[in-house]
Order: sequence, then C-alpha cells, then structure tokens
Amino acid sequence: MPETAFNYVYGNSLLHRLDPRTKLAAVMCLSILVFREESFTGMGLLIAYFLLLTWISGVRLSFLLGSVRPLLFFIFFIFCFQLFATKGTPIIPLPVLTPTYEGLRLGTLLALRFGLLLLYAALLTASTLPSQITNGIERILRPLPLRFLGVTSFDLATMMSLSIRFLPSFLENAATIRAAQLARGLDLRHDLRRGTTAIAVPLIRRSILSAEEVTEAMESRCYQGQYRTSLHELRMQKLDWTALLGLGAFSLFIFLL
Amino acid sequence: MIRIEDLSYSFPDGTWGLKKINLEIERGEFLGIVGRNGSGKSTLIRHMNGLLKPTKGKVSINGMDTADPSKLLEIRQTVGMIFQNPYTQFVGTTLEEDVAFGPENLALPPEEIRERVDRALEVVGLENYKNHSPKTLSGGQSQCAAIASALAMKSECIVFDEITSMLDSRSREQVREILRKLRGKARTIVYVTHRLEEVLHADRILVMDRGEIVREGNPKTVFKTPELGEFGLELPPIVELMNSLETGGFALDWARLASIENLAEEIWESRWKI
Repeated sequence: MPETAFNYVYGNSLLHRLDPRTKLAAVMCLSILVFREESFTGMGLLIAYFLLLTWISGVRLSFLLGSVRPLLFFIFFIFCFQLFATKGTPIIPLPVLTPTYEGLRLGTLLALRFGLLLLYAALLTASTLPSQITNGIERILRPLPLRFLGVTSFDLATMMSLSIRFLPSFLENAATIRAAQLARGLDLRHDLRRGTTAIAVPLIRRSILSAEEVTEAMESRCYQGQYRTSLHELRMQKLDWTALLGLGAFSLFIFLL
Repeated sequence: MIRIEDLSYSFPDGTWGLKKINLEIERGEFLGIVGRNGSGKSTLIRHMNGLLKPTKGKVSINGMDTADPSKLLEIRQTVGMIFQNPYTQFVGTTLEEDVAFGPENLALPPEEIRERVDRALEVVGLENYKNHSPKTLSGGQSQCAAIASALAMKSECIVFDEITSMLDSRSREQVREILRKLRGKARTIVYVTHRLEEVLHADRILVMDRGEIVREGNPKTVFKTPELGEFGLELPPIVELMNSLETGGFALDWARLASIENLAEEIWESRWKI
C-alpha cells in the first residue's frame, strides 16, 4: 500500500519544533488567505511563502507534491469547468464549448487554490506527529463547553487518535477478507454489488469485535474520558509567538495588497 | 489481596458463565488458571478488575468491592490486565505513547509519566523502541509493551489472559523471560492459559471447567489428576515423562522440574539410587 500522502517525515527543523497549536492556527489562517485571494500577485506570494516554509522544514518538495496527486484529476476537472463555462472573450471560437480568457484566469486561480490548500495541509502533517495534532486540537477545544453535547475534548482527542491508530489495521483487515473471499470463488468483476457485501459484512463484524477488545483494554487502563494529562504536555515557546507574529505580518501584507 | 465469595455470573442470554466461585489470592502469589476454551477462565478474571460485575456474590480487591463505582479507578490501578490480542490492546500511535496511556488517564504530571514510561520500558527491555509504531513491533514485543503498560500503572497484581496464545514460539519465550523477571518482586500474578507447561512453576493451579473450579492445588498434585484429559487439558511432555518415570519406580524431585536439563540431571543422579 503506498503511504506517501499526508505522512509524517521525521525531522528536527524549526517547523517540526513548533507547537502543534501554532501550526494548526497557521494552516487555518493561510487557508483563509488562499481562499479569498483574487490576484495572481497574492497567489504568487502565497506560493513563495509555502516554498519558504518547505525549505525551513527540510521536507522534500516532491514528497509534498505527492499529496496533491490523488486529487489532480479533480483539480483538472475544476480548471476545465471554469475554462469552458465562464462567459467572456473567447480564446478560440468553437461551436459548442468555448474557452474564454476569463475562464482561463478563474480556472487557474481555483486550481492554484486547491493545490495550495492541500500543500499547506501536507506540510502540517509532514512536520507534526498525528498524536501531536490531536493533542493540539484537544487543547484548542478544551475551553469550549462541549459537556452539553455529552462529550469532552479528551473524548474527541482520543477518538481522533484511535482512528489514526486503527485505520491501517482496518485497511489490512479489508485486504485479508478480500483475499479470503477471492480464494472462495468471489467474482468481483462480474458481481460488484454482491462482492461489496461479501467484503463489507465480515469487515464490519471484525471491526466491532476488535473495538470491543480495544474498549476492554482502555477501561482496564483507567480510561474514563475525563480530565487527563499527556506525556507531551504542550507549551507555547518564544519560537511559536515569533512564528505567529511573522505569519500575522505576512497576512496583513497580503490583505492590504 | 483478591477475595471472591460465592461469585456467579450469568451472560446476557441467561446462561451461567460462572457458578459459585470461591477464591482467595494472596499477595505475592503466582496463581495459574487453566481450562479449555469456554471453561470460564476469562469470565472469572474479568471480575478481578471490574470489567464484569458479579450477578451474585462479591469480589473485593484489597477490601474494595468491585461493584462500587467510586472504587473502580483504584481497583483498575491495583489490578492490571493484559489480554490475548497484542494489537487491539495497543492504543497509542507509538510505543511510548501506548505505555503512557494509563498514567495519562490518572492525570499524572508529565514529568512523572515520562519517568514511569522510561522505567517500565527498561524493565521489559524495549527502551530502544520508544518511537516505534505498532506496525513495526513483533507480536512478542507488543505483548511486552502491554506488560510495560501495567508496570507503568504500578499495579500490585497483574492478570495475564492467554497472552502467549497468538504468539510464535520465539516471542513466547521472550514474554516468559519477562515473566520470570517479574516474579519474586512481591507482585501478585494471575496467569490464565491452556498450556500447562506455562504454569509449571506456579504456586497454585486452578483447573476450570463449565464455569466451575474443578481442581485446585500445587502443580504436582494437579498434574497427577487422572481426569485432566476430560477437562480438555493436555499434560506437557516433560510432566508426562516424570509421571511415567515415577510409576516405574523412579522417585524424582518435582521442585527441580525447571527444564529438560534439570530433569536429565535428576535422572542421572537417581540412577545410583535404584
């Protein structure tokens, strides 16, 4: 199974050492900037900023670009849709679908937007351990009055980290069951609907059984979903505030541009 | 330390999983529980840390009743439990996070969690695997991680529920090695298995069948029970050899039944006694 997209890359760069909350806030802020940016100058600056951060992180650019690949078709589709569907000055007059200059501009902007969004997210996951991300999200959510919804920020964080922990096992189980059913003569090519049930039902059954075992193990180790501490307690450092200040200045500049 | 009085447990479907169990486990004891699948071993031990509540009767840990919700946290700290499946009890994304999971739930300060995790990993010899993900650990290593998790909770008693049944023989040996280390540290050990050779050195063995304790005693007496086969158990070859030697007139010292080497030596020495 290829596991290149959105994976953690070991390192000790400035970006790796930042508090996950700083990075989460930064990604949110940058996403907003990317989405409301209308000019190519601004977009260029955002790309330059991304390249700068990538250079600081020490993560290979090709690795991050790999995260965009699965969605390349989707991005291309959006680009084409804008290119042909936007009304304006035609580039080449064609009878049915006419590409326009306005469409080209809008399509390029949108494609860049989605690409950049994915790239910034990939940079976050490449420089932050999944457990750190959940830890950061938990700390951000902690002040919210979630108790009225029947959950705590600790519950949410545990759910997130368990999903990350058990997703590979889930996929592995799916592959095993698929192989087992194929060995029993399941024909996926001709009867996809039956094939899906033949894989889904045992997969769900097995997942529920595993979930019960996980619950027992967690309860035995005193899990209650209440206040708990963490091995890696988060502390905002000087570096974090500097980074946020830098980002703030950059955002203001783009905003005023 | 663990006292079980008249414990009966019925499953949600109404069948009785346990019938009138009476049991007392002393501090520092190594108790082996054996029996075939479905004999009630796992049901019994799940009462020892309050995962299951008695339908009838009472279970108390150091005097704390497991039916009392306010004592549950302390009970689960006192009695650590390690399960059969190495993967479903590994809840962290890395080894050290997994061992830290218990202490984190106790809301200990990070420095103390760090200290407990490091010490526990040292005991099981996995200090160099701290940042490994469960995927890169072997089954045996994962089970050792589970033992480390119990150690990090500073449990007085550790219950092992068939922890070697999903392991290959090498991993099994690795886990047993750590068990030997743990014993004699005044820690109570409850060891559930269907392999008799794993409880050769227990202080006491319980044989369970159909939700009842059918035999109880030290390994020597239990291994001489002729009905073991009826309870779905098989004597380890080394014990079978001992037994047939004994019926043939060789009186051997059971206490030295530690390994094949010891037994061979014992036979060698006893040759002169004939």
